Amino acid sequence: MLPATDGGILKMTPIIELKHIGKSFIVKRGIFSEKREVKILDDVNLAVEEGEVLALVGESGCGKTTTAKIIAGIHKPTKGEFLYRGKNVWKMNKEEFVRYRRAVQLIHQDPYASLNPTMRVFDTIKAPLLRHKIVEKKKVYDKVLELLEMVDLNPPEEYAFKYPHQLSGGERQRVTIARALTVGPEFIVADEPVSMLDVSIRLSIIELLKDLREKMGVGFLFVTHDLAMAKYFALEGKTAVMYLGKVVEYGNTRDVIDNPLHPYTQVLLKAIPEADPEVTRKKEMPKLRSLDVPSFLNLPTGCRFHTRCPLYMEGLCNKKEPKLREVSSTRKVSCWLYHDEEGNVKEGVLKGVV
Amino acid sequence: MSELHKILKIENLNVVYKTRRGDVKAVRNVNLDLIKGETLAVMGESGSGKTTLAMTILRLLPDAARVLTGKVIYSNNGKEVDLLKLDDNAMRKFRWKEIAMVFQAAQNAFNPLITIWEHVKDTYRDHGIKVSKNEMLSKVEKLMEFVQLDSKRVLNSYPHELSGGMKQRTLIALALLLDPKVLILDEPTTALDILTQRNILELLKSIKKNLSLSMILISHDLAIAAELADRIVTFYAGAMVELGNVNDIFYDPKHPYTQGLIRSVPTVSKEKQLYSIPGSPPDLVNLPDGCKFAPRCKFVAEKCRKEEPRLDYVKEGHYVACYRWRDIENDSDN
Amino acid sequence: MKTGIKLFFYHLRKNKAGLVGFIVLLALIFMCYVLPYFVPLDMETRVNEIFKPPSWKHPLGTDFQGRDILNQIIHGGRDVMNVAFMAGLISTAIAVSLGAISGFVGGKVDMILTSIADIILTIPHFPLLAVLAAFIDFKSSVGLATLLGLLSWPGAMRSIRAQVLSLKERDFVEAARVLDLGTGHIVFKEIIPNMMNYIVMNMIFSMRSAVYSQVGLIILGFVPFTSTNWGVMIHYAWSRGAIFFKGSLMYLLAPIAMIALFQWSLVSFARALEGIFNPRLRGE
Repeated sequence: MLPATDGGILKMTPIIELKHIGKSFIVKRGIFSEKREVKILDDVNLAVEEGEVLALVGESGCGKTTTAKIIAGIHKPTKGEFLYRGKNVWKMNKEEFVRYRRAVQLIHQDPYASLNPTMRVFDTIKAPLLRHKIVEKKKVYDKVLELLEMVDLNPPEEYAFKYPHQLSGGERQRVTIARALTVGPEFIVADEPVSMLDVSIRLSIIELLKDLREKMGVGFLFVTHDLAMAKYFALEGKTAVMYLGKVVEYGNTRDVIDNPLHPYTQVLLKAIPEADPEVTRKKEMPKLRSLDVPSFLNLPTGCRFHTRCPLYMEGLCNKKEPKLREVSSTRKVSCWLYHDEEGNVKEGVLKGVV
Repeated sequence: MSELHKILKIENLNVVYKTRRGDVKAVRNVNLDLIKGETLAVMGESGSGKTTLAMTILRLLPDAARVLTGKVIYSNNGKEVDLLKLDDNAMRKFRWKEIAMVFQAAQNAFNPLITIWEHVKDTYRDHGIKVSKNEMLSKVEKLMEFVQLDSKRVLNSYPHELSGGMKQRTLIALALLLDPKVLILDEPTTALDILTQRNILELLKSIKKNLSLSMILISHDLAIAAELADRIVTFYAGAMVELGNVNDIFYDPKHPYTQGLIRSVPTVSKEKQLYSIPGSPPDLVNLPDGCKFAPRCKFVAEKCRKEEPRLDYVKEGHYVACYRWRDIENDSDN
Repeated sequence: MKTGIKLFFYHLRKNKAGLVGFIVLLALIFMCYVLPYFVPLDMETRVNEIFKPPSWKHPLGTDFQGRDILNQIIHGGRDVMNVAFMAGLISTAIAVSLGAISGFVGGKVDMILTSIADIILTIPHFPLLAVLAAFIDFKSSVGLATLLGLLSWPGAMRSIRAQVLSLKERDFVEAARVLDLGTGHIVFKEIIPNMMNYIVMNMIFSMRSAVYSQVGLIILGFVPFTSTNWGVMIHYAWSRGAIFFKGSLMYLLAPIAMIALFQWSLVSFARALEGIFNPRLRGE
């Protein structure tokens, strides 16, 4: 994605950009079989502006966590470029890379695994503060308390000297957030940050993240399979839908969720149960061609969704793979319903679509 | 008013777990009926007591648990029996034949070394039922068809060869093997994808419609309860805080906790203002006096902290354990 | 919440066998390191008291030179334990360093280190030690301990490496990488503290095998005898014919019993340690 022009004004370089990203893993099934290279991500293109929220949604195994870990710098892409402020992260010099590391942080899904069980909260938060010389040694204690207060762990003195096993899931997640804040990040990758927490705690953590966004201008990649939470958190931002390692739809959150274009997105929204009896009791199982979910080891030809798609077009969808293309200035879809083979938007499909 | 047949009557149930730190009061003063043919959702978060309740009904509590008081009366075909008073043998025959359960995360409870068909045979054998192989097969095939599984493929497979959704459907089929009258499902759709989840929900709806089963659905997921439940009981800190039909609970909740829960969960279709519940659940070993939700309740009054409120009658079929429900309007925060 | 010392004793009390093992170990250490200062070594030869059975004067009888056996038992453990502790320490230190580097860094370094470990693993220790004994003078315990340690680290290294590989994938280690906390911090503050039970257990097992190796070498006479110790006693009991006299059986049995007791106390203690390190990891 090149920086777009908006009425003649060149847009700023996005803070995070994935260009034609491919990621493969070596897989060995059993002791005696050969190693195979499995392609998880294929030609993924995404960009996030500074301070913006991008919700990355999809079902388990679609590659959203792999994408998140590439942005967090844990996985190195097999193909393509991952850019931070326009620079290829894996080709940066040491100074630039350190700057990237401090700018992009990660919050894990499992609050029971993301903290070192042998370290107290104070030590966990102290480590990056000292390592990156963010405050001088004698000010560390105060800074730690300040960060704990920022994440609503009050009184901070009580929490500072606890071990993780003495904290609840919600409290641990707050500590993880405080830890991410130590380096003053510009962008946080949140991988299902609340899906393992109790229902009544989830919203308070999401509110905390929203607060950070408003007060500190931190951008987010919000990875989740919970479409309702994605809509809530990324309401002012964008949403990308992934299926089997590819982005199939992308646009403003409200548009994508309220008016989905890609058949997969439509099917998801038709199927998702909601906490509202009137609404949810009207829902039915969408008519999928097959209940089986293809695996990465045996990807369908052509469009990856064609084996299940209710709007499948014989001869086209199973033969040629569509590309993620624009249907409007703010929306992209990867589907033969909307583009012809040259990439032009088909006539008449977009009545009232944003 | 016709007498609705109550297939299960739970009376004054109190269950504790003995731990090093003290007694965990897991289930407190529960009085609850399951009406024949209904789906009752037990809604609550971790530590609310909902799984303990299910395990008590089926007498599958761990050694550390003690039933302090209470009765669980099963009443069908004119016979009434207190399940808590049955001996182990009688209870084993009872389980699965009258009341069956699909456990939480049971997809991991399969024996990885045997095929599904072996699991079927084991189920019959474990409950002392002797039938011919043909009878077993024909029953299982019918059930597999009902849960939309290819019986030839599934019966010969090992558990790891099946997907999460297939395993869950298999578990439901296994639970229905001996034609139970009551089915308890503990978090039946957790860890399943959206489309698989929808599939299971439709299956459960079809079970509701076609088999005259009474179901107890345990869930922390409000959406699942909204889909399937006829009545909902909300649990907090081991006790019932509200009981009503699904529309009462979702559209006219009277208890601040129920209100808080519903208002903290976003929906896709309707954009609504969300409010989080401050604080965290209480320590079940050291429960405060009075209402257990008081420390987190914004409507708390003096009397709330003194004595725990009992279930109060709101209207037909709708009860709430709160002193102040009349003072609190549903949308008083706006 | 119990931590540190309190946690240690709490778990000892819970695990009865572990508690007994710990007490026995302490008693043995006391006997072998403290008692000798109060009970001088009996080096006197008493020709008319050779292989006497147990009596009030000599509770365990006498040896082939008429010396008191109990006395030798008290003095005889120090060398064995010294070698065991030192060999265990050396072996574990090498295994942890190499295992951590190998597991964490991976790649070529990992390949090289595991190959070296495999080569050493395939060398039969005993014959090698026997051959080396002909060339090297094992005057001090340190020399023998070092050699034993150098030969036994590969087994522990592989299992520690496996632990490191699995810990490397844990979320909190990933978080440390994203926070750029550095390899040193990650290995020594994140990974190793979460393997302590493993490391200590490995050390205890290293100590056990060091005892067997050392005693074996002594019994077979491959190592020169600098002083009396349990292994030496067994050697002499066997070579000087104590087994032929009913009364002098103690000369053979007592040191064997002591070695067995030492081994057992180590293993029991290890069992109790399991409890100490695990619940914290499990968040109880």
